[in-house]
Amino acid sequence: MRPIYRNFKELLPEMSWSPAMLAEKLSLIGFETEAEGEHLNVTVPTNRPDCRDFNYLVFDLAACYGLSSKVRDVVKVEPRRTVNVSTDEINKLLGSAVSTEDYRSLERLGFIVGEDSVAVPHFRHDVSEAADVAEEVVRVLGYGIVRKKQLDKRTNHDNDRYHRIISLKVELATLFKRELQLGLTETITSTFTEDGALRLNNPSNQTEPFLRPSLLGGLLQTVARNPYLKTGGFFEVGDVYQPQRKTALGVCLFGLKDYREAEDLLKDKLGRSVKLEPIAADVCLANGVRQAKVVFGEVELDEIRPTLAGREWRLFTSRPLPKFKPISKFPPLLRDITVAAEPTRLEAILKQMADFQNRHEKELLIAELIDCYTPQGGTKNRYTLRLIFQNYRRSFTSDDIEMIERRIGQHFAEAA
Amino acid sequence: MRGHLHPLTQLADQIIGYFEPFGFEVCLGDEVVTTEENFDSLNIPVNHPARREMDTFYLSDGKVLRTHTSALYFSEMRRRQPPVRLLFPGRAFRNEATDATHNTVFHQIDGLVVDERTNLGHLIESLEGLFQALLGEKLDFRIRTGHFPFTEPSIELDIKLPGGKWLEMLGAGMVSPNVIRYWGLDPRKIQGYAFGIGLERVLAVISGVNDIRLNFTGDYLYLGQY
Repeated sequence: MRPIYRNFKELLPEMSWSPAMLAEKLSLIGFETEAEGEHLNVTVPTNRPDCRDFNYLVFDLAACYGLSSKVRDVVKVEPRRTVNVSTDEINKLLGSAVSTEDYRSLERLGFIVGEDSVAVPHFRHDVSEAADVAEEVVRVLGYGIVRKKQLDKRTNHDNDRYHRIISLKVELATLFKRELQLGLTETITSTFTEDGALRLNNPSNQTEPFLRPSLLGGLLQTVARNPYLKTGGFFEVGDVYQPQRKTALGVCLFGLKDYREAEDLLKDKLGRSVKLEPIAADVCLANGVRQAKVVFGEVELDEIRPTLAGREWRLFTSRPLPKFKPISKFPPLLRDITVAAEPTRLEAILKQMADFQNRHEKELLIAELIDCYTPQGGTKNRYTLRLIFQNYRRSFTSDDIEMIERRIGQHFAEAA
Repeated sequence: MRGHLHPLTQLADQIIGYFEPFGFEVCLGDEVVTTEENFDSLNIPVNHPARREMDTFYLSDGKVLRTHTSALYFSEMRRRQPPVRLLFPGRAFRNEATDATHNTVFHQIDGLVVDERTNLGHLIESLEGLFQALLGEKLDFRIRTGHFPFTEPSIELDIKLPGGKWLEMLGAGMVSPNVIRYWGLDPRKIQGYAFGIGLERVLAVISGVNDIRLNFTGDYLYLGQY
C-alpha cells in the first residue's frame, strides 16, 4: 500500500462533489481515504499498480460519472488510448442489436464513447481493440443482448479418415458375431512407458519417461487388470513413437483355443493380414497377466484398407450412455451360463436377462450375451450369458455365492 | 466376450455427429507439436505459467506434448482459407498431479469456425444445442465471462444440475484478433468462434463417472457397462 496526496480543494468544485462524496466513491473501488487538512490522504491497494498518481485516479473516476470533460483542464493526464470501433462492429461480433445509447453504458466503466471510437481508461491496459470493447459491452449489458442463431447446415466436410477409424472400431467391437455385437473391447492406455525411442525431458513419473513405441504394453496391462476374464480380446487405436509418430491399431486376444478365425476375420475387416504373435509366458508374468494363450498384433493405421460393410456406425455410437455404476474394490464374481433354446426365443432370453439385472441391480454390475452357437446335430441354439456381480461393502462369502447361483438357476430355468 | 467401444469414443462420436451436419471437418493431428503451435500462435505470452515444465511436457528437441487440442489450429489454418469449420478431437497432456479429477493425459474436442460473420450468438446456440442433444433433456444454461488468451470475448458455459447446482462445462469465445493476425488474416474482416470441450468432464455429467482415471485402467467392470 502506498499513499498519494492531492490538494483536492481546487478540484472538487469542478466535479460538484463534497470531500465525503469523493471519499465514498473511492472506497467503492477499494481506496482508503483520510482527510488531512487541505489534503486527502489516499491509500492505493496493492492490486492497482497502474494508479500512478492522483490525477489519473480522479480523471478515470470522473469519467465513470460522465464528468471527464469538467476535470480535463484541472487534472493533467496523458491522452487516453483510443480504440476505433463502431456500434455496427460490436453487433457483428456479438450477434446483437445494441443501440448507440446502450453502447454508451460503457461510460459507467470509465470509457468515453465517441461516434466511431472509444477512449479507454488509463488503468485498462487489457483493452486495445474492437474485440476487447465488445467484451466490455456484453459484460455491462449482459449476455441477454446476444441473439442466439444456429449455423447454416452444410455437407461439404471431408471426414473420410475419421469415419474410417470410427467404423473400424465398431467393426472390431462386433468382430465375431455382428448381429449379436460380440467382439473386442476398446481400451485407452497411457502414452507414457518405461522404455521407448522418444524421451521426455520432464516426465511426471521417472519410471515412465518415454512415449510408447508400441501398444503392446498398455494392452497387456489391460488384460492383467481383468484376471477373472478367461477368454476375450481388447484393442486400441492410438499414436506410437518409434521415434517417428505412427497411428497404430493394436489387438490383444487371450484364452481362445484357435486364433485362425480371428486372424481371418481381421484380414477381412482390415484389407490386410495381421499376424497375431504369441506373447511369451515370462513377458505375460512380468506384466501381471494370468490368462493363457495371449496373442498380440499391431498394424499401422495407414496400411489398413478396410473393407467396411458401410453400415451406419452411429446406430452403435449414438445410443445414450448409461448411468455409471460405481466399481467396488472387492473382487467380482463372474458366472457364464448357457441356455439352450429355440432361435425364436432369443428376445425372451434377453428380456429375462434384463429382468434379472433389474431385480439384482445392487450387486449385478454387468449382464450381457457373449456367445451364440448351434451344436452339431442339435436343433436348439446355445446362448451364453455373462453375469458379473460385485459387493460394494465386502468380498462375497461361500454362502453369498451359493445363493447367487441358486437365484441364477431358478431365474433362467424357465428360459430353456 | 461382448465388444464395447470406450465411452470416450462413443461420446466423441456423438459430439462429432452433432456438428457434422453443419459442415465441420474432423482434424486428427499430431500429439507432439512445436511451442509456436501450442503457445505463440494462441496468444499465450512467453512468461505465461502454462509454459513451465511444471505444466507442460517437453521433449529433447524443444517440442512439447500438446496441452490442448487447440494447438492444431495453427497448422490447419496455415493451409486453409476461410470459411472453415473444424473439430479437433484427441489427447492432451498436462504435467500435473493425478487425482480423481485430473490426469496427465486427458481428452478434448476443440471446435473452430472462421469466416466473415460467425458471431457469439452462433457460438452460444451451438453449445447449448450440443448439450441439449447430449443430455436429452431441457436444460438451464448460464453464460459467464471467462478469460482465455486465444479468445476475446471469452465465455464459460455452465449447466444447472438436477440438484440446482451450477456446473462449469467448458470454455469458449470469439477467436482473438491476435490469433487471427498470427494466421496471416485481417481481424477487421475475419472473425470466428472457438471452444474446447473436456470429454472426461462431460462424461462425468452425462454418465456419472466419478473418477477420470477409470478411463485409462482398461477395467472391464467399467468398459463393460458401455
